[in-house]
Amino acid sequence: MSLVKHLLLLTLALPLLSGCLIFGRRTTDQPIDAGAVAQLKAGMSKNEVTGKLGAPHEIIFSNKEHDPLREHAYVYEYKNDAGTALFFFVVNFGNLDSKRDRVVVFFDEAGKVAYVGQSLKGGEASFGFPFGK
Amino acid sequence: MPRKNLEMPPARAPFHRSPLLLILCSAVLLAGCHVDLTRLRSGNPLDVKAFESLEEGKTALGEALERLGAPDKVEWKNGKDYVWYLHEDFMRAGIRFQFPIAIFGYRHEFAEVEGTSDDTNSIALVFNENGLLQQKSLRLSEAYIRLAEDEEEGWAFYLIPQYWYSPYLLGDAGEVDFRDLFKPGHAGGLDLGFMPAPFFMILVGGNYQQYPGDRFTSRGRRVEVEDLKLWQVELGGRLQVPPDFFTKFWNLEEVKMLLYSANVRRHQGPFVYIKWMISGTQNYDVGAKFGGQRAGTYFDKDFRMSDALGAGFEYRIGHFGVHVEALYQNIDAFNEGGADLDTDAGNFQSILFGGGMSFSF
Repeated sequence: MSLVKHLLLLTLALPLLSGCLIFGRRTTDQPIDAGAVAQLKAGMSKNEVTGKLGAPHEIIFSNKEHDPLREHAYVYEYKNDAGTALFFFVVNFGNLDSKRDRVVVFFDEAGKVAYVGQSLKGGEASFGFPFGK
Repeated sequence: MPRKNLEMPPARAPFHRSPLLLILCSAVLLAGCHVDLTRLRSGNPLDVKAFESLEEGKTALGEALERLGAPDKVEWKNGKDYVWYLHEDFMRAGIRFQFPIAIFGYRHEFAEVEGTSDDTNSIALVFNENGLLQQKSLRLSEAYIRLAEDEEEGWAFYLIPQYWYSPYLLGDAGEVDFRDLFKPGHAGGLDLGFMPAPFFMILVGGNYQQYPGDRFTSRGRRVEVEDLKLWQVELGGRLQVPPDFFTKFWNLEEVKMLLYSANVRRHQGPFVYIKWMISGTQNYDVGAKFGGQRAGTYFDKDFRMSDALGAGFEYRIGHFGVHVEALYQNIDAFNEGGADLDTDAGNFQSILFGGGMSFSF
């Protein structure tokens, strides 16, 4: 085998021989539709909220003495986990980055939308090294 | 009859070739050394500036939601809203020492040092019955406090020309040992470094090595061998830390400060590093002569795998750096040549000392 062919084979084989790189992704539920969230307005009813976003993942109840089962807020969530592992001869790196889409819809005493808090960061989960903030 | 005064043989220092054995012991230790780094981050880093902009008695819940987004935890008690923003950061860093040789796939671990940190950074807000901010609080780990909010992130590339001198050759070369077959040699090479994180570098490059041939006597014949010439293409890595890291290793907050920084430009000043390389080696024919007459080859040219492990010291200023290092190199046995000699050799091993410069861009 000529020197050039040897070097080409080595270039292709070395990354396989020198270690191992693993990428993995896990999602929980479905991404939240930003357009649907943008349509939520103060004063909307609970039915209108569930009509746009679907059934909530969690309901926050008030614990008022006279109205303990009042639904105070609806929570919607989607999780996206990106995992990276690098086994590189002497060093082994593992990194898991977990980001979420999360929407919390607050209701007033009359059961109408009072506030909407949204953080749609699920798409920002990234593979990478375990460095950085 | 008087007792003979038995003279004890002169005591030899336990390692009479102490520098070489020390290096070999270090290389063996390093070969079984593993650095493990695991990080789990859940949620988004807290927006401290947005938190500081909230005013007690003035900011309404709706405004807080606009600035900070959806809270990670909500509770409602006695007319008040309690909301939390959470960012979890789990980190485990450790060094394991294993026997470098596996027996039926098992490598015994004989020492491990590790530290684990599980931080939950949080913002907690309380809104009164009127929906106005009544109380706010922030909890951040020390590493997050000390790092700048807008730390520069990015990658860096390095050009690393290097030179080594190899005074020690080890291994059985058949007729004689390698140290009797060749003289101390020289090597020169060039690596390209890719630094995706401040203290870790991936290296790709190559080098050329030459070991002058020596002479020896075999079965009454004066044998002379030609120079050993090698080309290598290599891939490896470098893990580097500031020297004061070793005095701060027990302080987990200092370790986190080191790891949480994504600014590769922090790579300034003195650094201690470990380096490992896996490579392919192409050697040329090594001719042999008996009494000045050509007598075939001692080793035939071929291609084989090799590896190297070592440690060094680097000093960086700006885009320029200099380093010195020691490496232990192991090359799979060369192909036997056709000369009338015992050329059935073991692995070629050498200790290299050298250094070079680096230029970042």
